[in-house]
Amino acid sequence: MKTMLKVTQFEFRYQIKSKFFIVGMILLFLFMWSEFSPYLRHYPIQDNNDIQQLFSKGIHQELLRVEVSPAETLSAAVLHMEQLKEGDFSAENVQAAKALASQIKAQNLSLEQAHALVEQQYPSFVDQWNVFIEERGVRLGNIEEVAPLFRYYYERQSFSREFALLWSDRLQIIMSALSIPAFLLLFFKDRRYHAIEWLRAKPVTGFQYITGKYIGTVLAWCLPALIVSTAANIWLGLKFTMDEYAYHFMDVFLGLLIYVLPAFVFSGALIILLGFLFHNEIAALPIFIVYLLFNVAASAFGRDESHPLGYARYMIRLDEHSSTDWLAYIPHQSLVLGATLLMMLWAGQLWLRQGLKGKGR
Amino acid sequence: MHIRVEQISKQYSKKSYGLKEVSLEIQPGVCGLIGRNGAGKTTLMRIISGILEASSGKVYMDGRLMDSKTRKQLQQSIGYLPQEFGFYPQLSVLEAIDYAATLHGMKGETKKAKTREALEKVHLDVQSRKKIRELSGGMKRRLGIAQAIVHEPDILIVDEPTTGVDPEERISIRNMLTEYAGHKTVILSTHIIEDIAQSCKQVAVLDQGMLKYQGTIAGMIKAVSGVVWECSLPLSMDYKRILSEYITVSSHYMEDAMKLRVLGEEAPPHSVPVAPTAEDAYMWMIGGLTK
Repeated sequence: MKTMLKVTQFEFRYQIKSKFFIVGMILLFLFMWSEFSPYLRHYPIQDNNDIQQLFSKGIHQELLRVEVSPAETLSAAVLHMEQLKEGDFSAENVQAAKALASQIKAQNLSLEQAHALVEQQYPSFVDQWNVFIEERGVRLGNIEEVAPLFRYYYERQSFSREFALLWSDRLQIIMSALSIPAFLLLFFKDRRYHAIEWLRAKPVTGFQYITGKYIGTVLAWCLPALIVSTAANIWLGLKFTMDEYAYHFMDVFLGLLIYVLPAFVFSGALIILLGFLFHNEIAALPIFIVYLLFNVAASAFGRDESHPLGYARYMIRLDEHSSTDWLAYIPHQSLVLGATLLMMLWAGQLWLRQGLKGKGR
Repeated sequence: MHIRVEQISKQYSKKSYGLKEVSLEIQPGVCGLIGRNGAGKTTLMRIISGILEASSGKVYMDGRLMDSKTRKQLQQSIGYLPQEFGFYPQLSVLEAIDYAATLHGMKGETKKAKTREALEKVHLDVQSRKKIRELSGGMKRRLGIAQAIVHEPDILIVDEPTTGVDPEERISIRNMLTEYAGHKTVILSTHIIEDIAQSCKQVAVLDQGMLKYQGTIAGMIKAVSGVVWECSLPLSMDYKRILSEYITVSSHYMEDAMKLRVLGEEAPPHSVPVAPTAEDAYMWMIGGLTK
């Protein structure tokens, strides 16, 4: 156990100084920032700029729009129809729109009357009319209008939970992708630098050596993810708490523990095992990429839940499967961790049996 | 530590043997293993160091059998430098030795002291901050020795440590190993006979996976007394016949003659018997150069 910890310590120090690690961490930071900067900068909404920014990023647009009065809707629709140019629609439709707009204005019709008029006199324009009215029936709200809706929504649904799930989902994807540079060359470098033979002569078992290096790598790569997550969590938590929203700081950490860590450790163990099985880590790469795509692609296996591999599908991606009952995930993730341990035991055996140049016997 | 190798064989495939029933007794001091490439030296060293399993036979260290249960424990007393040694190039010399010491379970002040001591022994203490990628071939070899001796093993196994290094470095490495030996056991494999002659108390000659000789250098030389000849052949003479009938150790052209040093039970023409050397003895034991 002590030897394993020492190997872990060594590998941790080695990893955090490696170029792959530094580049990987920059990628992690950039990816998470690109995904979450609107949340970090504009949540909870404070002014109209926050609303516009969130709307432009497509975040909770349903909370940011407010309904307008029928008179306002009609007036906006009329203005829109008057401004239509040829080329926007067919010449016939543009003509009909302009005629309809002047008729509504001339007769000073209400929305209801205008609707009846369209149905009677412009039957071919009904669909387009409905789209115009629907689009103009809502507008981007201002802070006075949106803030109460926002508060109402997050009093019923915890923001910290929503954020934790989304954060875990994105972090799982990037961490699983980063497991390639983290683990692919982990044992390859022993072979490359002619270290296998003298390492094997040391009083260390295969399991101690493999697991020690593996844990050191996991810790090194998970540490920045934990730091970034903690920083984002504290930042948002303080902002929400100061604005008198309920915020559970543990949600993000639970997300890391239940979703991100198992996905990363499983990916790492899989890469290592495949590398030993093929006697060549590079050969493990295409298989792992297929596994990654299979997990990440939302449409993997046509969303067929009855597919025998469907169970494994949510090992990384959560989008479609985010559950409010996190505890329900624990048996599944325990299986993942159990499989990881088995793979490491197997890899330890294979390390002892691999040829001294890294090839099989 | 006393090593006993009993009937060790290593079979790679039906027809391919690395070692064939080799039995050997190795006493404290430097023991040289010589043999041509592919003779089985590396295989034997790997088996003794516990990184390769023999197909049959046994290895005892001070009477303790090396098997799957005792291997890791016995490896605590073994230091091994393989023929090809390397480690992550971006690590410093100190970090690499520190890691080797860690793998032997050393910690704290003891580890620091032993690491420093090992680097001093191989004269790398000044370069301890240097990165491995900045080391010369000879320095890397010395680093390899340092990782093998950092835990002060009773048995040090070094596989061709002087291959590819300059003569000065070669002598330095040889001296380091002789100094280390003291009351410990050093197994040194090489195909440089001079290294063996200069530093080994015991010698074992391997050829095609079989043990051809085990004993002292003096004994090995004595075994070939009366079979070494030096002949000076006129250039007009057909010297090719002699080359084919005798084991030729050396040959060179003089102004009016061809000078040969050959091995054979009968005296060749124009020859005088000469005192054998370790190289003569080795050549005699392995049956000359591979044709």
